[in-house]
Amino acid sequence: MKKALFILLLTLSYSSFSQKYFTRTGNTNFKASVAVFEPIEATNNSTSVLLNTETGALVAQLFMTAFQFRVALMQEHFNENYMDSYKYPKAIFKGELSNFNLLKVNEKEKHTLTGILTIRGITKEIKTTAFLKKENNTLFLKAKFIVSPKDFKIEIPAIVEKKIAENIEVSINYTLNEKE
Amino acid sequence: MKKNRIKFLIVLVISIILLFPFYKLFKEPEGIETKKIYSAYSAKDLLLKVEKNDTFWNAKIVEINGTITAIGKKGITLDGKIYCQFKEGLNTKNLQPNTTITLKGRIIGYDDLLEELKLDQCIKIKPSL
Repeated sequence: MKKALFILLLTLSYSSFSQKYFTRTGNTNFKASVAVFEPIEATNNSTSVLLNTETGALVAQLFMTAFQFRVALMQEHFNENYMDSYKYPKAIFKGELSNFNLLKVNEKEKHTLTGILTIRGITKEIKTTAFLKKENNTLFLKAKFIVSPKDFKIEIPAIVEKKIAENIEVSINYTLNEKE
Repeated sequence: MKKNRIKFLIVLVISIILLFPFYKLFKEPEGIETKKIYSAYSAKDLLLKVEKNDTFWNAKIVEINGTITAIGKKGITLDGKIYCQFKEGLNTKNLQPNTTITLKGRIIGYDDLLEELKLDQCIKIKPSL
């Protein structure tokens, strides 16, 4: 009995060790532009992503202050007025790719990605389609989803309300490599 | 003649004052090169400091020196615990593991997912190119 338990634990610990893909420099972008007005968009090229290729569990984390805008003032407002980046420095996504199988990734391009996105301490459920591709030992993951400032209780002053889209498109573009 | 010159100067000054807000409105974010360094640290010291009060360090510009323990395409790891992402357009070629390096970069935070401190926009200070 003890021996069986030991073997079970050994295999469990072995499997939890193995098979992780990751990146530190994932690209997360959002567009909140409204036609006519100046474009409001920013890119974060420092997103950390960890994918367990045995279960399909995916965790992504980024720092708000690492979002780069084209205009300095916009970046300042984003961090100080809207996101409270000094109080809530991170955005975290914890989710899962359905029916994920590393060996069969290239047979089926589309995967359902579901999970919970946490921004400013507020959670929102996300469901979208992720596109996956594997080349050699690199996994490419792309997806898009829509969020709204209201989802995270971000108050937008009336004076700029028309300039910021109600539906903000977030796109993710991650190049994952095998973790040592 | 003199009157005209004075008029011209007044118009010039007024237009500069009027245009200044637009300049501010559309100014690009300042590059890392000209930003002031908050302070200089060794990789080990910085880790200890950030662990204590992590929100204070958010977006601080620092100079950091340490030993290169890993080299990636877009950045390097110092002392096994600090990931320094290079400024866009810079590459990590010509760097050697186990050599010391001094960088200027911006702290973006402690990444508990990968258990390392993360800096971005890093530029090399020593050894210089």
